[in-house]
Amino acid sequence: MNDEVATDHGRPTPFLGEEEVSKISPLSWKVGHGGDYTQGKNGRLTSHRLLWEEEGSSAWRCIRLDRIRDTEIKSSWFHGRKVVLQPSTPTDAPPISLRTAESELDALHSHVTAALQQAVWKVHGYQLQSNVGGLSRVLRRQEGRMQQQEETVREALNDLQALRQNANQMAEMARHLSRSYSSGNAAGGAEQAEKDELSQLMVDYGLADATLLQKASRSASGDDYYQHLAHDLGAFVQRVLAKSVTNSSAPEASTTDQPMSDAEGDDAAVAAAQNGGISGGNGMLLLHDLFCLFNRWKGTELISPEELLTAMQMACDDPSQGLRLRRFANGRVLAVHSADMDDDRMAATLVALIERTAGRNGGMSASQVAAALKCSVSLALLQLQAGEARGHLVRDDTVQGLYFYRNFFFDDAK
Amino acid sequence: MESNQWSSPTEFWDLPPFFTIQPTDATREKQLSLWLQVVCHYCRAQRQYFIDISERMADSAPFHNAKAKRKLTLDGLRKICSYMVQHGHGVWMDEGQNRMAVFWRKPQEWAAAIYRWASDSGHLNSVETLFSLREGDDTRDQDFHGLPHEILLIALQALEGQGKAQIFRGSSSDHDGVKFFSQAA
Repeated sequence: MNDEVATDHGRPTPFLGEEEVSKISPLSWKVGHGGDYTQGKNGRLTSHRLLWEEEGSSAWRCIRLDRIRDTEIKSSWFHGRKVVLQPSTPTDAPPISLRTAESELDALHSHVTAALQQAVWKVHGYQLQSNVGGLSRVLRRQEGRMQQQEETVREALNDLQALRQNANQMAEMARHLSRSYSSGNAAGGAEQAEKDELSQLMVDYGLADATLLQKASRSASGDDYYQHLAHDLGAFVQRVLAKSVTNSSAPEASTTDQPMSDAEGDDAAVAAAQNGGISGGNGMLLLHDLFCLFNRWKGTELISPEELLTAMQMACDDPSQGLRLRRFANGRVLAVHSADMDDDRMAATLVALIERTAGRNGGMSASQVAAALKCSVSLALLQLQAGEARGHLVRDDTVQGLYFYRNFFFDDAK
Repeated sequence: MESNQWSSPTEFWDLPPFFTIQPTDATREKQLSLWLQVVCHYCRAQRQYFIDISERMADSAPFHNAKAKRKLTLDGLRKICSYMVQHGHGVWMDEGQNRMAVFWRKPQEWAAAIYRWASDSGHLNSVETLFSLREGDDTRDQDFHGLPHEILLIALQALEGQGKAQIFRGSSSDHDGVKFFSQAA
């Protein structure tokens, strides 16, 4: 009735799909009505069988649940309660009696009953999980899990692809609508109202936002977008330059001492940007520094370098902005400065700075000047070179570095 | 050191940028003219007649200023020499332009001084060797005493060009001679 159990390294080899249900300890058993109980240890109930290790021999034995017809709890006068398993075949087979701790008996009975009802063994039968134990079992499980994940990801990507295609179509539609919207500006009043309503609807439903519409209609509707941008940029540059001039002309006045009466969020942002290291040095700002500052200030809806360049050129063409673009001698670096600033004035400021800092016959390097003006080293160097080209400064080229001095060569002529 | 006894005619010699040839045209022109003054002043004080384009030269006064811790590069030295040649204060002695004769007085000035001496000391219409002009006792108190042969020759050629002298080539440079003419001739 009870079988030998195949083991693997001293542990019972599980059947396919076999799960442990509960541990039974202590456990003793006997077959038939007479005789003594035999002690077992490490008793456990699985979905497939009841198994235990024989006391003394360390051999594993089991009772397969598929051969059990029924189970019940019986009590006797002398030995207390026990679980009785009734084999299904043959019909006159002796029942098997199991004993365990009194407190565990009900649990054992209900577990066995549940296992008999579920009859998990019917799925795979009593098929040993041969050579699938330990590490290989873990690996196989993991493989299965990865396959499942791959499946999930593939599905998700397909969804995303579909979404993108839809989004492309939507963007195309938005562009088309705004183009026809702007090209038909000259149309009659009723049509115009219709279009206004349409664009308003698009904005309302999140199909477009105002800037997207502007951007999309850029080519068709002229330079509206750039005019706005030029205006914003111009105002921004004015603020940065104004700060830098107060910084350099009154270095002892700390900006934090000043009451922030005009401190809207904008000015705070400009100040924060300057504390970060870049600012308009000497009333001038390199365009690549401006690009960083402006986009940092905006935070979202960033602009591209091309947009910056176009808008900045427009801003500088507008006399009311009072700004000038300047291309430095090497031809590749652009800067913006206020219209009343010229090379001679700029150089005069540098000469004054050098004389104030290093003495009348002292020199300063570009990085020292940059630190004093709170601007980038490249801007300081470009300004120093411009001042040199105008004859206001002279250089001392040494192994330690390049230093600039006031141009003293013409002192005797004065 | 000789440089200790010499003091520069310009205070700029003590300023570091003086030792970097300036890239801006107008400034560089002015700087080179100042260098010309400095070099002539130094060579006159030291009775130095030649400048070599060499590290040794660049390491010594007036091209090296120990106090300012600055010295000219070889390229800078060459630019100064070129400027001096261009302005008649020097002449290259070799094709490779590595050695320059310094005219801390221009050849015409040397010529005038020599002719003045000849006429003052009654050496007109007689032949003198160049060696006696350079090393002779008669010229000991003259500025051109000790003038190297090459420079003396250039000065006399200038005189020859004015029709005031004629040079006779000898068997060696020491035997070259010159005859001074009176101005009437």
